[in-house]
Amino acid sequence: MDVDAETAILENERRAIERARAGDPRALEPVLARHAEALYSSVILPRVGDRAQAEDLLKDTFVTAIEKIASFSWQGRSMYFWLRRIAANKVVDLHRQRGRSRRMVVALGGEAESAPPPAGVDDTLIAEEDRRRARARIAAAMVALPERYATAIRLRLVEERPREACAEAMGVTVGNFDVILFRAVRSFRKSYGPPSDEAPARGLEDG
Amino acid sequence: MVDDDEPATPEELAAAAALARALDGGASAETAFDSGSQGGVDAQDLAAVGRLRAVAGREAPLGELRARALARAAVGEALGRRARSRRRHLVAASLAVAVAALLALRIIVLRPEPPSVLPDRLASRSAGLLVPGPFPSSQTEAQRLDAITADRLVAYRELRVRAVAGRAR
Repeated sequence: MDVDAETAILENERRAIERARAGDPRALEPVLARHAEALYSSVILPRVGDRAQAEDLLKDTFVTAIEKIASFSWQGRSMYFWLRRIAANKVVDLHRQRGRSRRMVVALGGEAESAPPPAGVDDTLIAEEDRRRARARIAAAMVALPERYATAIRLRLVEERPREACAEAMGVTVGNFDVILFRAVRSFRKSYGPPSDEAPARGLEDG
Repeated sequence: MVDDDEPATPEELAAAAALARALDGGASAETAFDSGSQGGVDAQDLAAVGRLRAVAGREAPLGELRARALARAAVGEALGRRARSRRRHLVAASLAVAVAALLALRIIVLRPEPPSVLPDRLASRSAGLLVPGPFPSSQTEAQRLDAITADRLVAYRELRVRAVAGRAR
């Protein structure tokens, strides 16, 4: 995208925010829709894992942004980073609500509170940085797994090979491979951030 | 036989099969539970799978249509909340005004009569009632006082007679 087009988009965004602050929240609709994909695929889904849940959190993020638009101050760059922080906090709240370990909640909270990038940094770069961090968390969790479990996850979930091909690659039966994968997923859950025995599980309303 | 770990329990075998079905059918917490294929696989297992697939870029993108729909829904929800909040404030203010009006009405309309200091029988009568008609212009002040005094004495005598008659019944 050339500089002129970017400038025009930014100016449209600024005007839409002004109108929303003046009492017309509908003006924000195209702005929110434009940032939806990056928020969904880079910030929310990698940390939640469930599509329906991720969409709910995305909508909640938008509702909060609309209600708090008066607190947003234009600083010459897209509101994406502000939306990103709201989305990350929603993810943290969800995990806290589900009684996730304090370690995980603190880690996610740290990601949410990361310093804003310098003005002028493209939103796509921010989104890529989010994906990089999510990959780093996953990678750290995978390193802690036994080799066979990490292999099973890589073959089936990352490379998306059929069960039969995965079983053949690992030299086991298909049924055997299914069990290895199930155990691998459970181990990954513990390594990534298990439910806490200490934190009370408050209202698991949406499972 | 399975892995070099412990042999799989029946529950593990069922859960592993359920996870395999969920992955082949498109892993999501909702679809797994809807199809009744839990078999030991819970939403957190599927969420973990989703996280792994999302980071690997294996999850389908949100899509422009869905993005617009969510943005539109969010605006609708925010406007709805704002309208409900305004209605609540309006109802509260109306109730407060109604209560204040009722209190004011009660105070003004139902104000009790001030209590009498003296019983009726001891309340003084207007001097204008004592003497029928106006005082004659030729009458002196002394003559007027005499007339008023005489009238008061007659009235006193009537009261005493009534009181005695009342006791005799």
